[in-house]
Amino acid sequence: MKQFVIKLLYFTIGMIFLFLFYILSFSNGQIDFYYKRVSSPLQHSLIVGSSRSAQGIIPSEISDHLNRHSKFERNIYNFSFAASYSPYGEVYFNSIKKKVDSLTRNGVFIITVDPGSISGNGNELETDRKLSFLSDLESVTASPNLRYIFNPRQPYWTKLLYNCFFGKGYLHDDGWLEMRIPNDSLTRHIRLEMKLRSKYGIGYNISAYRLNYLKKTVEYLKKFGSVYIVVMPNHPVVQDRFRKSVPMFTDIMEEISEYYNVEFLDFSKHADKYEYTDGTHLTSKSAKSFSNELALKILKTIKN
Amino acid sequence: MLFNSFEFAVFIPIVFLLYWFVFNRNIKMQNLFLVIASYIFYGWWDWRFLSLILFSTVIDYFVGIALSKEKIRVKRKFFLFVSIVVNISFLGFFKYYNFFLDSFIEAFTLLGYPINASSLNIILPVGISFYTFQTLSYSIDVYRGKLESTKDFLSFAAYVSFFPQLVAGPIERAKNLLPQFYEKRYFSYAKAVDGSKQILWGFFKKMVIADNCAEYANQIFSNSDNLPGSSLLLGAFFFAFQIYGDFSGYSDIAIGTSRLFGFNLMRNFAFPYFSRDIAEFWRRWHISLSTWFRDYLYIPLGGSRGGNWIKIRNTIIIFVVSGFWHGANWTFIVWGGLNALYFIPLLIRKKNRINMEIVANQNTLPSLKEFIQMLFTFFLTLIAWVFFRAENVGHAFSYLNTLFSLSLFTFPVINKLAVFPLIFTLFFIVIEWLGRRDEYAIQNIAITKPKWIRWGVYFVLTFSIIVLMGQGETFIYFQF
Repeated sequence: MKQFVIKLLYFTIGMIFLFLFYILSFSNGQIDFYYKRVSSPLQHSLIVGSSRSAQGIIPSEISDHLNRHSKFERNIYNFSFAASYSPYGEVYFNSIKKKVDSLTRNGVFIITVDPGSISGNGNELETDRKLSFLSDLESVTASPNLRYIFNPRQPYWTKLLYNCFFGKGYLHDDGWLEMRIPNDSLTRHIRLEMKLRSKYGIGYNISAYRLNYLKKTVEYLKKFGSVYIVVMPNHPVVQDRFRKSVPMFTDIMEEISEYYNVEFLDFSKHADKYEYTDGTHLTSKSAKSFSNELALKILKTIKN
Repeated sequence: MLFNSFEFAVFIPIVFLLYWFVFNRNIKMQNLFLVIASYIFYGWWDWRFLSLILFSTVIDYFVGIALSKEKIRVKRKFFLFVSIVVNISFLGFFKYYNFFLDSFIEAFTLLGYPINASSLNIILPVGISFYTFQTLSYSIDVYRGKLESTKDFLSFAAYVSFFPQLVAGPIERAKNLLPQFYEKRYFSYAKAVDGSKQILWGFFKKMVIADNCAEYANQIFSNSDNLPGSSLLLGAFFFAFQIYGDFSGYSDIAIGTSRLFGFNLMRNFAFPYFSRDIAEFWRRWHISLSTWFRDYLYIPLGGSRGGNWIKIRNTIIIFVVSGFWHGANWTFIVWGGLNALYFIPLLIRKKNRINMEIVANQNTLPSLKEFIQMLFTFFLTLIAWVFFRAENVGHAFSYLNTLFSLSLFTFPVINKLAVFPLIFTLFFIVIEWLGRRDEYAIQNIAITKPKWIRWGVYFVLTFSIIVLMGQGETFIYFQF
């Protein structure tokens, strides 16, 4: 009996080391594209939205500008995930609430919107609970976040393959997801064509549920500082689709901004200034210039 | 509580240590502790349904005592009847009520007499089919005089609720398991090591093979209308290994866990996909259920005695009932019926007992004939699994219709990542093949090698479970 327990103990110790190695692998930013965001501490300023803001807004660039302004002392954190994980709704709203430090007073909150993030199929809550791993998480600040690690929505080996070999991305400590993929014009064109063929941007139905939660998000974050509703730039072809699909989109966003007295920054008309990996996601280089421009606009609104 | 959960990872070492270090002096204490642990294990899922187990335990305990005292045949029959009615009523209500109601409504509507009745929102208690059959086996064996009734309520309660096999088997016979509760258990190092290895292999089967195959089986079955036959063949293949890994993995964990506590459970799977005919397959697949039906249904019906028609009738009955046992859906009944159709030709030609030993028992590789036989048998089971997995019978037929179309010969349309579960499965088949002569595949792996190699194998296997595990699916057989 003793012999068995001792051997089991040795085995368990060995396994604990293997587990530690496994858990640490989540934090390296290369294997898991979300883990750091759900294991970093409470934040004072956030960027929220989908993969477009996750890849297209670099928090350090924004922070560099904002920290120069005496009003803001804290660094901004990118808490955006992906269209299927973080559309506006109860699930994402609850996660945002868990991520914001309630003692914050002078935070900056960038809420990125696009027609997809406020559209739905009429069954949004159920869909979000089913698709989004955020619905599983009791905490988005625990480190290690064991709940995330041991309730995988995506097998570890697919992360290894996709994210290390096929995807080649890197999740920075500030939540920015840098995609290190080929970005020559031909590859970008092929990706755009594939996206357009998948009928991306067509047939959106504005969801009252999502709009309601977008408003709740704005209202909630306003308590902790300044909120900016931001429309990120898209490739002109995608922008054209968005316009046809949801013609009232800009009007709705303006209306919400006015109602809550927050700034509305629309970059959809600046499409030509940037490059896109697939028509909607900015390349790393463009993400940098976009982040700078966004920060300058934010500073401008403060000075005004 | 699921075996593949954090709760179980905490539960099992605590129960193990308390069992051997605190409650090991007294057999009554050991049994009482096992009953409490088992009730916690089951109640973790839904404590309300513990009352069902307790009620079933009390009824069968007293039926057993009454049967042992009563000599008059009619009265004995009455007591057995009580046990059967109570147990089957629970099963019938929780599992089949809505099925019968819906089927009646449909049948009357087809006949032009539409009736209004609404089905109930009934939760199916986990494992009800398993523990019901286990307690029934006790009453029937006592009635037949093959087993003495027990006067030790604690042992009986521990037998009915024994947590490793409570929710998904193996369905133990009272004759095998109950006497083990009468004797004090002593720790056996060899048994505990063997049990631990079987648990490890069970987790590998469940978390790496079954859960990864499930992902792609689900994708293919839910999009079967838009996929070519070649993809559907892959879908059936993935499901075949999903259900095998899932269920035999559970059985391995259950048997291994029992061994840690000093118990021996019956074997439930014996490398069924290496079978050379369907009869052999059914001797190797879900053995505890097949033998249950053989002993308590097939033989009482007359078994293989009598003419061919009696044999055919009895075979159809046990396969259809076995299908129905799995769930209240026509898909399971058709699955059972199809297996009966596969089995009957062997039975008539008296060829159902020709392959009793494991294939290529004396050789490393099978002969060409054996290989073709195994492939053909596996193919037959694949077709049957389509009915088992499909949403309804119509879905199964349309699935098979596409599968057997010319599109079977096209390149499969499937997520490119599916190639990896295929590789895992092929690796798994090789390991199973190498260990086919043992109780489970890794029982004697590296057994003659130096210690560091053996430990290396266990670490690699454990780490591969962590890295390669799929999305945590619940065990398929929990729903039965």
